[in-house]
Amino acid sequence: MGREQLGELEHQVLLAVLRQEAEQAYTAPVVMELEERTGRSTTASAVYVVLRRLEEKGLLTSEMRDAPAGEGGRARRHFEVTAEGRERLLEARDAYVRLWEGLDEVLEGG
Amino acid sequence: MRELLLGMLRRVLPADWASDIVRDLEEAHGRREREVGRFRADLWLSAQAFEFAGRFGLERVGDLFGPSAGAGFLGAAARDVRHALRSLGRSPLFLTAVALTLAAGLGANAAVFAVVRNLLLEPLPYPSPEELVVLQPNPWSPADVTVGLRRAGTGLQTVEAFYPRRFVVSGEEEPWAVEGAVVSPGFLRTLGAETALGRGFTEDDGRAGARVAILGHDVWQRRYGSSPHVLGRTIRLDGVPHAIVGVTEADFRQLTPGSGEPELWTAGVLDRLGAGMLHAESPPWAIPVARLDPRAPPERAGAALQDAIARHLEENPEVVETTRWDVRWTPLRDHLQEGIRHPLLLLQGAAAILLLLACVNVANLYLIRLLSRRQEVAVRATMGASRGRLLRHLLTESVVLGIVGGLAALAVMHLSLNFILAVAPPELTRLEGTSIDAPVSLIVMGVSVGVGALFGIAPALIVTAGPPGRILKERGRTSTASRGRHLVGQALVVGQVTLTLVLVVGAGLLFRSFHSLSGQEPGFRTEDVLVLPMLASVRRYASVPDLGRYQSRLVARLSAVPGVESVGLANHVPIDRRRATRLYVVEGEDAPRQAQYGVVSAGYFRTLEIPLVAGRGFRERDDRDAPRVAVVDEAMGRAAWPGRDPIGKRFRLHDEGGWIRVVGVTASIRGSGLGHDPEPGFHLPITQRPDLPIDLAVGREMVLMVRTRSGLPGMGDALRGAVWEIDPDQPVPEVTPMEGVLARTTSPQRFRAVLLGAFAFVALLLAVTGIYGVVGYQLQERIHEIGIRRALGARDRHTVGRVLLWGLRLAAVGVAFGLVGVVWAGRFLEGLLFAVTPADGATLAGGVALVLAATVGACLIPAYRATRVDHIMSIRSQ
Repeated sequence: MGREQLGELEHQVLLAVLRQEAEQAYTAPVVMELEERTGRSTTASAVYVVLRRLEEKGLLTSEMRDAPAGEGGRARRHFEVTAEGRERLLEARDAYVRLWEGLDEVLEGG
Repeated sequence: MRELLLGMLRRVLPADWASDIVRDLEEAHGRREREVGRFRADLWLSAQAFEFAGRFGLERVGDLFGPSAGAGFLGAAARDVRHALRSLGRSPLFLTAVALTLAAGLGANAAVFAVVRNLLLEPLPYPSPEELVVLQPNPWSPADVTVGLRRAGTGLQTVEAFYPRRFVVSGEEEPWAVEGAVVSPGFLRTLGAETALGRGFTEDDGRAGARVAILGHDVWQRRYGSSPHVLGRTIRLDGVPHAIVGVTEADFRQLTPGSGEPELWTAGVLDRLGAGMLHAESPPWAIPVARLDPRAPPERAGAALQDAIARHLEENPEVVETTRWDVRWTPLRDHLQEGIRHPLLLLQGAAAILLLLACVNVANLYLIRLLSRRQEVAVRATMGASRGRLLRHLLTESVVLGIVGGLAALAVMHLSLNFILAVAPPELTRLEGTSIDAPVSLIVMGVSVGVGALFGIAPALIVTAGPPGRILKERGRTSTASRGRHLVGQALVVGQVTLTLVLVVGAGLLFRSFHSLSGQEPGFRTEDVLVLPMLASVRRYASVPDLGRYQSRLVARLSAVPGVESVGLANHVPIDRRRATRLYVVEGEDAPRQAQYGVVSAGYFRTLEIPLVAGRGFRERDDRDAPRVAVVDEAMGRAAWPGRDPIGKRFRLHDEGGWIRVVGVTASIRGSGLGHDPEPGFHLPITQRPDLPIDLAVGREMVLMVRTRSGLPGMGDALRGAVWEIDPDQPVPEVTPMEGVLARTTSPQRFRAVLLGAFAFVALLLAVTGIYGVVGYQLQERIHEIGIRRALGARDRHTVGRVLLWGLRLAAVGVAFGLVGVVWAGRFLEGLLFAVTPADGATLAGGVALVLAATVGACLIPAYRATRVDHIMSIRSQ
């Protein structure tokens, strides 16, 4: 492969961003999604750092958007996973699937 | 608060994202504020702000050594630093623990060292200061003996002397008081004082009748606005006109032990004893200061002094009884440091112990962390990392940690110094000059990095030793190697407990000492007594009778304030380390004796509830036309008329003529301080004070003492109001409870106790951290064993009991060593303790109990976690 693998949190953040609908893909909902889905508490600062790093690596883009009418609040930064980001996610998932093959019985058995 | 934090964040965060993050935080903070209130919202915001700052800060630094950094040594180093930062960032608890430990140990040390350097190590600000010597003990009467040493062959270049005293300067608006000294003409020159304006003293100035004065630079600025026209001006010192002939340079100081540096000097005649202390010309005693002749052998000066004394005694045999003759030349530096050297060195020793503790803690933390990363290191080794590379990584981490710790230490250092200055007793005026300069800061950083590297090497070597395969198979089992590592950890904890016990007991002893001292009975009433020091204006009360009438009206008006039970007036505060003394001569004797004295109103004894054991107090009838009377205390009665009743006996003041009859005897009070035995003293009635020029009138500087009914609030304002009814322009600068006045006299002891207590507290925290770390780690290693026991039926309380026992066993060994350490260190506390010995059983027991309790506390969380161990999982963790 020759390039860096996705870190665990990077992987999770990309997935969480993907799960958001376009208007909701800003930091606060991403953090909440992470907490709900992984069952672990996540600190906002860690997520910020990862978002920035992912943007630097070209796996995410961001832009400032006004809050939707009727919702109040100021302009916020919204994220979107790039094509390259999607590609990396798929690669990572495939790698995990291959590693997990056949291990279910081992874990659930005695 | 919010603005401050967010403003800081804006600066630390990367520019493009700062506004987003700040905005989001602001919104979240607002929401929280509505939900849980301002305070908790602010707390949350602070935590978030630090987290963001920390993370982005580390990222920023890491980016400096970005992946684009070149290959080769620099590139490798840069990568190591980035890696270290990432790794440390993932263990914030460890990072904080080490940084705080280094900060506490190094920071406190550096602050104490700055003080020690300023007060003890700095050379005196005089030319060739090692040549300066003082005659001790001082003061000393026969000035002619020392003047006689101004000859060749005595091992001295010059002999000078000074007589410290307070002058009342008048002739302008309101008179003001200044600390000054009467000096021999060559004195200032001997100390290397240059004049910024005018001239120094000449030999002519030293003869009787020549009245000249030199001002200190500060006084010149403060009082005369640095005006050059001050030369030649005449001022009245204690009523005697003097011409100002010079001003010293800005950086000249006549250092004194304690406070009260002279700021004004007059030239005096020091080679004859003479009339009273009130005249600047011929003080009754002086403090000789000399410069050793560097060409003469050092013993010459001492020998010459003894010869001179012997000759003087031959010629004047009657003076043998009245003067101390065991005098010698002492280096000026020792004289100035007397009384502070011992406690300061003690504090430095305690700070050094704290540093040692901090280093042990850091070593411990490193060891534990590296040991728990054994697996990670082993994996990397099997993946091809060489031992050298691994060591470099680990070392870089330690160095980076050292830098972070060093920065934290600098912050703690400044905080500690501010704390020390805040609790220091007021007499340590030279403390104000203490500062932290660049060299000290550099040393602190250097030591921190050094400690980081040092304590990183050993564990790193241990962890990278041995083939990685063995480590990987080692899980959960104890082996000889791991038992060795356990021992190191345990030894470190034992060391920590030892050092902590020494500090805790030391602090305990000082606290008890301070407590005993404060509990001493002063001999007069302190509850519900308010003290009002005041200075009567010379314009409005221009004669002694005027002053007397004013004071009578004050006392009467204050007595009428509701809640006031009694009012007394005196020219002094009853307890004061620098109590005035007078020489007196008992009728029928020739040799003068010394006693503390005061001038008081009739209500003084009643107000302070000083018991009268014989005779009577003062009455209104004891006025200027009546025979002179005095009230002495028991100590003076025993000294002057041993075995006889002092009532009716007479004495006179050494420098005055008239006889004074003793009409009453009171109980003795501890006039010099709570730690001193009562000294002989007598009181004179204020109504019989001598008719002196008003500048010098006794009691113009007065202290009013007012006893009130208990528990009344707002008395201070009521009293002030009463004073202003009599004289609306009378400044009443403070109304202090007598207890506060008393507390000031014990402030040095409190200073020592508080400082050492702070060290002991930090030491306890460090020890708890260390024990917690080691016990927790050991438990992790033994999770297998615990699991088996629990599977075999061990209950929770058994598990907890084992853990506690294990921790207490370690602590017990530490306590045993610690007791030895306490006994050894006790010597250094000897001179500082009051009413308690260094081997005091109760304090030792208390210290041991505290340390053991801390141990139990430190073991509780690991013990609790042990009970949560799932036995199946732990056995399978093979």
